This record gives sequence, C-alpha cells and structure tokens, in this order.
Amino acid sequence: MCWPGVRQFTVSVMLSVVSCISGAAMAEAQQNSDLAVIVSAKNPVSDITMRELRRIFIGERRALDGQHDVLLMVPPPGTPERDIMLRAIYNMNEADYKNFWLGKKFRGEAGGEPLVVASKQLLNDGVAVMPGAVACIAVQDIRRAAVKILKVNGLLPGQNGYPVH
Amino acid sequence: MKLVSHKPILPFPFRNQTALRTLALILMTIIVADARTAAQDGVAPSRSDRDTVNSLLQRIEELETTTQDLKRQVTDLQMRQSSAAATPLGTAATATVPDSLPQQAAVQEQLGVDRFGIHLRGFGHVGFSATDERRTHGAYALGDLDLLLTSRISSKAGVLSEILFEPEDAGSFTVDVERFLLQFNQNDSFNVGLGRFHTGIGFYNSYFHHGNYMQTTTDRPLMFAFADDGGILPTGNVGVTVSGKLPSGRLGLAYLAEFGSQDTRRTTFNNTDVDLENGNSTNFGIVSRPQVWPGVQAGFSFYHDSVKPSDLQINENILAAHVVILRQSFEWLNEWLVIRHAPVGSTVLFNTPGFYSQVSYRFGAYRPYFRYQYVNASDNEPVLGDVRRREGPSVGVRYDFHESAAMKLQYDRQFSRNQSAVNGITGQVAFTF
Repeated sequence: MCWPGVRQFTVSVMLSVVSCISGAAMAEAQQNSDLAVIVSAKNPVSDITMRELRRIFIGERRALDGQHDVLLMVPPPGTPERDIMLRAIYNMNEADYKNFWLGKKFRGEAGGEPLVVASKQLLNDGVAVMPGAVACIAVQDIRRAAVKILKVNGLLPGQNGYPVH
Repeated sequence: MKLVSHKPILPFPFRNQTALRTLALILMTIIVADARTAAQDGVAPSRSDRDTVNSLLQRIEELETTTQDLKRQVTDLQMRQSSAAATPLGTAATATVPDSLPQQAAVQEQLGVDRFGIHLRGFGHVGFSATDERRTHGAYALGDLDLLLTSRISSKAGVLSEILFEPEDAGSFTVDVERFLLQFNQNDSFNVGLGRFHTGIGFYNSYFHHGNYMQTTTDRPLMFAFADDGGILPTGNVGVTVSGKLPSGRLGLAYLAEFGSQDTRRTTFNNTDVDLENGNSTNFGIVSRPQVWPGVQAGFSFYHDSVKPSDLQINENILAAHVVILRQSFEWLNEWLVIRHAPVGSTVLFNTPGFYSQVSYRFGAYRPYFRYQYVNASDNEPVLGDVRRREGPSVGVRYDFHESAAMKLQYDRQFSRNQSAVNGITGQVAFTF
C-alpha cells in the first residue's frame, strides 16, 4: 500500500542529492574557469568595468591609475588562461589577436605586443613590483599577497556574473 | 556354482593390510616433505624478504602521511587566498613587506622589460593582373618588399621606420624610406612624432600603409593611392605630428595636428613625373570613436598647402570626412573628400570630389568584399587634369589560408570620361613575416 509513497520519497531524495552535487560541481567549475585580473597592491584602482578592462587590453587606455603606463602581461599561447583571455576580453582567436597587435604596431599605435609571461611566479613578482602592470591569471596561481585582484563590474572571481571566464 | 572372489594379486610384502597402510603413510610423508622443501626453495618469502616488504610498507605509510600533510597545506593556502580575495580590496595587500628597488630591477631584468631591441616585420606580395584595355597584356608582378622596424628607446619614446623596396624594370629595386618617425607618447592626450610620416588625411591613409597584407583589397582606393601610383593626395609629409584624446567622455574624441613640408612627386596617368613643389603644409583632424559603438569611427580633416607644378602657384585645400565600422567580421569604410585648387591671381576654382565605399564580411577564412569608388577631376584641372572622371565597382574575395598569408582575387570595372569601360582582374598573394 505504501510502496508508491516510499518510492517517490526515495526518488526525490536522490534527485536532491544529485542536484546538490552537480550544483557544487558547477560552482567549482565556474570558479576554476574564472580568470583574475591582478595589479600591484600599490595600485589605487580596485574596481573596473568590463568595458574599461577591454580598452586597457586593446591598448586604447594607456594608464590605469592615471600615472603609470600600463604594462600588460598575458599567458602564453596554448594555455587555458590564454584561451579564456582571448574569448572573454578580446573576443578574438589566436590569429586575430596576432594580427590585431601587428596592426597596432604597423600604425605606430603600440610599441609592441603585451608581454607573454609563462612563469606564474615571475608573473606574480612582476605585477607585485611594477605599479603599471596588469595581468590575467588563474585564481589558484596567485602566490603573492603584494598583488591585488581587481573587481570587474563590481565582482570578484568566483562570484556569480563575473565576466572574465 | 562356485563364486570366485577377485582380490588383487599383490606381491608378498603387501599382502598384509597393516603393512600396506604403513607404506602409504611413509610415501605421503615423503611427498609432503618434498613439497615443503620445494616451496621454501622457490616461492615462500624468507625472513629477509619479509623484512624488506615490511620496511616498504612502512615507507608507503610515511609517504601517504606526507602527501596528506601537503594536501592539507595546499588547501590551507587556497583558503587563505580566497579569504584574502574576499577581504576589502587594497587593504590586506598593503600589509606586506615593500619591494625593494633592487628586487624590482631584478624582476624587470627577468621579464626583459628594459630590453629595447629593434623589432622587424616584413610584408610582401606577388600577383597577376590583366585588363581588356588595348595594347596591354596580363603580367605577373612582384609587389613591394616592405620592412617595418620598430624600437622602444625608453618607456615613453620609440622609433618607427618603414622601408620600401620597390621593384622596377629589369628586376631592379629602388629603396624608399616611407616612414621614419621618432615618437614620444607622453600620455593618452599627448603624443608627438617627428620625422617622415603618412599624412593624416581621412582614414585610409593613416590606417593602412604599404603592407598589402594588412588591407582587405588588392589595391588602395584610387583617391588614396600613393602619388607615385597616380594618386591625387599628398600622402607623405616630413615634419611634426601631434595627436591625442580629448576629454569628451563616451564620445571618444581625438585630435590630430600635422605641420610639415615635403615635395610630392606624382606619376600621372600619362606616365609623366611631376614635382608639385609643395610649400609648408598644415593638417588638422578630429575623430570620434564612441564608446557605445565599438569599432565605429567618424571624423574629418582639413589640409592646407600650396603647390607649384609649373610657373603657376596654386593654393591647395583638402577637406576629407569619413565614417567607418571596423569589427572582427564586419568592415564598412566610407570616405569623401574635395580637393580645391585655387591658382593665385585667378578667380577660377577647381574642385575635385571623390568618394569610395567598401564593405566586407568575414565567413571563417573567407572575406568577400565590394567597393565602389569615384573621382571626378576637370580636364582643365592644373594638377589633376590627367585623372579625369574615374569610377566603378570592384568585387573580390580574400582568403586567409594561413595566419600570416592571404590570397585575394579581385575584379574591377572602371568607367572613365571619354573612354570605354575597362575590365580588370587581379590575383594576389600577400603575406607578412
């Protein structure tokens, strides 16, 4: 007599467990795929809009804090961080990115491409000591407290709606 | 009937049951003893082996413990980082030890930030073109070899140079320094360039230079063709160029001011070279790049100069305007200009209008495009009389078969005043290296 009720209860409990697990997994995946934008801790800027971030990364805005020239540090080609950066910030593929910077140099609008830094430690050190440095890095690779994670559109990596992922 | 029992016939010593049992017991004892000996010799561990296994197991346990400790430490670090990120930004970070200057210098040295070398990029193209014009035949043509050299000499200064090797008849080349500019980039609002540069008239001349690879079509629009290709504009100048952004919020205004003097040596459509003996020129421009419409740019420029192609002194004013949309896939360029030549001491004015519109859309590696261009100079124009009226469409496709090379195929139809229409086709491979 009570079998259908027990079955329903069991199924609902199982569904709840599965949805909890998948939700947690998705949240973890979201956090893992979020790319932090870091600057030196001495940089007074803490929050930036996605539009301004794009302008910085395409070389249209030369100073983040109004004083120091921006030095862009980007991950090397073939890394997940590079793919996220190209997709979320540049909206380009690798070939478009290369041609974009070639065009900037060709027109005399940029001295060179952003600095490619493969070593996570060096990237952390570089951002920490250079006031104008701006870099993209996975959250779990941030190793120095002397760097600061910028909020983008008021959000930090891992928060819902964070745009750089 | 007598029944016969079938007892086994055994040799004498085994006829007794007790003796038989004793023999079986002895045999079993021998077999078991032999098996134990064999096991001890080949399979079973000795005491020393057991010790080794025990020590290995102990080592594995130690390693497992170490791994657990390391995992715990990593988790702690990650949690600490997460909590640091979650704290109010700019507060936690300042508590760290300040970085010393030698440390900064060492990191910069490792990153190569202060190494200012010369960066070289090359551009080239080769192609085939043919028209149905009388007394002409199709021919393969080697395009210009264009070398772009850039170098940073400090964090705010650099040098840009564009050197062109132009093929001439009989396989010879001439060398032309197209751009040679010392640039100072003070900030977003103030940039200065000293040297030789391409004049900032309109959009095309300052956005596309000699490397054919960078532009969509096989050639420049006629009104922005270089003077030695029959072009009608003073495309080059020597002097000072100042540019920067204006405080205009989302309107994204920028200014351009150029002062210089360079003689324009023009190759006419009649295949004669004319030295225009330019005076001192000025060029001012304003452009807007609205932040709400990425890739959109609109602007105008005003250029003033004087030319003296013969004994006649002529004032030259060029007014140019443009609206362009440049996005990853979509490109739409629209430019208009009027060249006004006013001979000194005469009331006659010659206005030469021109425009072009070029639209293209990228589908993967293919970018089909269409362009219509128009230039109309009076037959009596003292400088541009050979140009007459030229207009017509161009259609083509660019195929980027490599990230550094593209193949272009273009069909042109050109109408000229008092001349029959000319059809032309051009195939080109343009590349960068």
